[in-house]
Amino acid sequence: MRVNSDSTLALQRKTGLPFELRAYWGRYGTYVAFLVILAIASIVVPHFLSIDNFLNVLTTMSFVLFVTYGQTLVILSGGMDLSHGSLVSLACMASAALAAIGHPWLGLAAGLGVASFCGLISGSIIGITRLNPIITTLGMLYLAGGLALYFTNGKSITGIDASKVQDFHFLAEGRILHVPFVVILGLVFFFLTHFLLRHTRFGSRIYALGGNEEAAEIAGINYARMKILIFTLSGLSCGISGSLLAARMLTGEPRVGAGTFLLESIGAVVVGGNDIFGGTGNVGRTVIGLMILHFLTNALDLMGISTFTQQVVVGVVVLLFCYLGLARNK
Amino acid sequence: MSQSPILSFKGITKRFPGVVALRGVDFDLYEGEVHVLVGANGAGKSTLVKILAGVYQPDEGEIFFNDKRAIIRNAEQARRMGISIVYQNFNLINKMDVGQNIFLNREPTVGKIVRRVDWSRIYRETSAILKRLHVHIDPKSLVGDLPVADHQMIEIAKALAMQSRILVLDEPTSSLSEQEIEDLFHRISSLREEGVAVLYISHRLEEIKRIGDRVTVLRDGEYVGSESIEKISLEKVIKMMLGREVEKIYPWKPRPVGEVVLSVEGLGSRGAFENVSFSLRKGEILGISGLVGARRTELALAIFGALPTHSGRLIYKGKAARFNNPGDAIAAGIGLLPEDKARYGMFPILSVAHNITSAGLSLLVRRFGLNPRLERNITEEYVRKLNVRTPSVKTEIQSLSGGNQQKIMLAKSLFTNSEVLIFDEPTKGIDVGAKEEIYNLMLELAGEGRGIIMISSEIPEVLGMSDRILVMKEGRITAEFDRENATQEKILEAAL
Amino acid sequence: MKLPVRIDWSKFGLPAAFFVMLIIFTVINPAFFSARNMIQTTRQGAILFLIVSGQTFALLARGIDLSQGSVMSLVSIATISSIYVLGAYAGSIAGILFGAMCGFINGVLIAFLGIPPILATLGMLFVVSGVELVYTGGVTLTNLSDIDQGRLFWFGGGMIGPVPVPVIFAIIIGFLLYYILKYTLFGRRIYLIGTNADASSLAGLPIKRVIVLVYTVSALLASLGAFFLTARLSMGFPQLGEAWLVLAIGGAVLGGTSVFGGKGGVWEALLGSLVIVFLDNGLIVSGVSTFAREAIIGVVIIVACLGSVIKKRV
Repeated sequence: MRVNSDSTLALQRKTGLPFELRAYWGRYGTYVAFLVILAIASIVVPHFLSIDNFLNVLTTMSFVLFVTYGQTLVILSGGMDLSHGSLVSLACMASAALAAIGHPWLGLAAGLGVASFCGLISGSIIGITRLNPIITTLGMLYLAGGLALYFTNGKSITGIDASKVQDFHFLAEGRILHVPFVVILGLVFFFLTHFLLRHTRFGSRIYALGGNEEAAEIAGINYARMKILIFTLSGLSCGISGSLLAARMLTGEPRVGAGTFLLESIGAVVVGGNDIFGGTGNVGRTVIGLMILHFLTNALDLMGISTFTQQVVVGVVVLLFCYLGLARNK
Repeated sequence: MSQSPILSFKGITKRFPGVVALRGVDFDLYEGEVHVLVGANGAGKSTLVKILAGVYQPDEGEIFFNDKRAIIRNAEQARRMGISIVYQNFNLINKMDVGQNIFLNREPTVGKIVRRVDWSRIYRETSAILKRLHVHIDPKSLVGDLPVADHQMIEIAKALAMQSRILVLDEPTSSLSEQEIEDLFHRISSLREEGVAVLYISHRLEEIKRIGDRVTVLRDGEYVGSESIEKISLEKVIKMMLGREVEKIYPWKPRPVGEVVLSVEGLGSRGAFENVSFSLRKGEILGISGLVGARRTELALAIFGALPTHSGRLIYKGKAARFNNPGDAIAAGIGLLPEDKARYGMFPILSVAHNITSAGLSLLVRRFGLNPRLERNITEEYVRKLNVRTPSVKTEIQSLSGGNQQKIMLAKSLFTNSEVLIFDEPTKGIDVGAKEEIYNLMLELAGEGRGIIMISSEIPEVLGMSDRILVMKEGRITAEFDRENATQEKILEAAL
Repeated sequence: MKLPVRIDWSKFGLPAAFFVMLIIFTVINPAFFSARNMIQTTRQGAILFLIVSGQTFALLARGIDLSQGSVMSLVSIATISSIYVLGAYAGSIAGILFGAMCGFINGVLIAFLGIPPILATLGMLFVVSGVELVYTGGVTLTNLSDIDQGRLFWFGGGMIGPVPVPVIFAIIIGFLLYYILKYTLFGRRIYLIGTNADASSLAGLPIKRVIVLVYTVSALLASLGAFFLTARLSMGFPQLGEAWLVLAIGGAVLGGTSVFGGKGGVWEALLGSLVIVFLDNGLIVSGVSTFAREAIIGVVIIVACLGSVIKKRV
């Protein structure tokens, strides 16, 4: 039955903020928050406002950045990918394994391939059988996580000879004109993702699925094909992060993704102001969201606050932004 | 009208497990005509449309398109053949803008190596189509920000953008105001002049005369007949639909009316309505008419405690009353049949019994908690009394027909022994046969001494069933009539 | 081959698969079916059942509780820490209440702040795990006094006759939960709200109250599960609950509870828990390594959920 738009209005919940403030927050809130955090940190925290520190943060951030690109695609299309942590670990292990036996570039390919393949499987299950993405990617989280540990029985892969894999190592640690290569890579992929979303039919379809799945399908958008592609790309994004981590540490850490990767990937999208249910938003917002989280933890770090506490703060911040963001939507 | 039909169904039969939806149906559609398709719920109209849309394949029979045999394999093919369907619940994406919606999944691209979406062309062509339809909408505005009537036009624009030759409109007017319906009919006429074939499906029989050229009636999956609109009467159409005579569409009978049970004084809700005053007596049916957007639903919700008010008061059964939430209203004896029953009334996967008892669970509590046997007995009684067709009270409500679902919603408000019943569009989307049953039920309830407020956008229905009529416009009451004094013109005048 | 009787696979599919699985594992290693092994497994099953039941409440209300794992870890730490100060019995209760409180917070975030359950519980997952990491620095808590240890251990590792203590508790609680869902206002309201929140609001149901209670119950049950685990180990593990979240959700959905709300219950929770727990045990007894087991269980959960989805569509 058609909904009378008047009656929908009648039953909408209203929050306490006045209407103009809400709309304003919706559009610019994230950017404002970002600037405010930078401003406060510059004043309160010693050593915060320096090029070295900024580059540092951007570098660390870049390793997670790729994962958030993938998550952005998934969330914009109306889903969510909870498997990111494990896929990164798996990619890291695969890359390190091959790098250790002297084939770093094959390792890179393996890392990308393995993670993409997992994404392909998730996407296939979700797309073809319409199983709930939460359950599917949660299962994949477990599955991939188990696999990452299985092959080495939980131990790390060491013994990568740095001298033999210098080019590979450069990917993660090298600089071009003083700018870390990973940051440049992150920027490149940013533009790629942005172009994909805004200027291709594929991107339009992503927004359509997120906006109204039923209408999208009636318009002829192939649900299965889209989900498969989207989750494969999501997996690929984890593959990039994982392989880069292997290149950086020159070790295969089976639990490298088990930390805050998942929180960051979803948190960045949410804090950036994208609609958690999909259909609205862009990758630029995600980047800002991630920057907020990283500069925040950086500031806390410089103040000497422990990583565990930082985790609590990040969690609270994400919740806070959820609340504020949702207050906007009503 | 051209000589041979653009589309022909011959002997189309479609079976589903347990039911034959269409049985040897013949049907012709010509270019440049508005062809109305009517039939009770379950008569096969939507199956016919789905076959047209390429969603279903007929089990028997043939389809001819421009005199050539055709098989409509899927939605894409239907589209290529120039068939567009505008469904009752629009398939637009609210978070995207008009241009994006119209060209969804068919965006023109530019460039050879990398195919970029050509946004400027999209917005240009969108403007052109909207202009052709005499619609003033900014192609870059978000669909979600636009009123429902505009959604209708955007769907039609979508069909035109795909160069459709056959346009199917499924219940296009159910959410439109009188003025918007007029506009829609103008545009349909201009489409007709362009040679588009329009298949128009509606339960609102009064409209057929205004817009249709021919009408086809389906009943129980069978083709009953087609006739030119000019030559046929509404009574004949109804008879073809139901297979029997309907004496009076509106079975109104006078009955004793008692004292005032609910009095609304100067009620206002910020942003919705202002200064609304009226009274309702026991045994009375008070109709509230008005255009879509007149805020009648908001009034109902406010009385029911679901919408906050900032002024005025209610006097219920002689005492000042304040309902801060629906729970209070229900406990006091007020029942609401919401307009959008799918969203605000029904629990689709739950059983008939659970639906009926949902607003009055406390009535089922005995010594050890909710008593299932009590629940079953009471709900079975309601099903019997309201003549609901369902295998059992344990059946999932979503498998029932629209009319039966509405009756269950009625049972829900009866279960809590409501003395005041507010019906918001009680017969929307329901076929003539079921409407009759609901009208009879309303009369019976009123006869028992309950006060009934009936909100309806169908003026004939309001005129036919009400004892008194209120007209609302933009949140205010603009007129009040007794049954004898009310006419369609007077109501319209007060509503516009 | 046409069977003389029509079998409703959607109802009997899973139990049938369950028994087949038991048979296969017994064939691989007869020790699987020994009394000792069976009893041990039911101990684990009781714990999983409690957690899955909690998740079921959240799912029924069309939500999800992603924080169960970290709440379990928190409870483990909180219980042992409280026992240091309050002794075994009071300390245990304190620890469990700590966990329930996290659920209460979840409920408030969801019902009063309007944060979607996924985000609220995901955020809480990290906040809670962060908090307990801050408190412990990642260190396991041991050093219970002998008396306390003895009293505590009984809950997790003790037996009443041939039956492990947690199983007794689980049975009693199971009946209680079944009663709540079927015969109380609260229970019925969960189904209604989970099916259609808007209609529930218009039906006069106290949605906020119910949601807060639902998530409190979810965390409370997870806390009980964590309590029995901790009791058996007699140590406070900061990472105790990590592995259990996926099992909780997987077990609930596998058993037949829908993620969209309104469908499912205690029976489904029991079935799902038993399947997972015996699968895990069967794999151990068959000599499969830990990590492979994790992977296999992940696969099985997905496959089983797939099965129910496909069945619905066919």
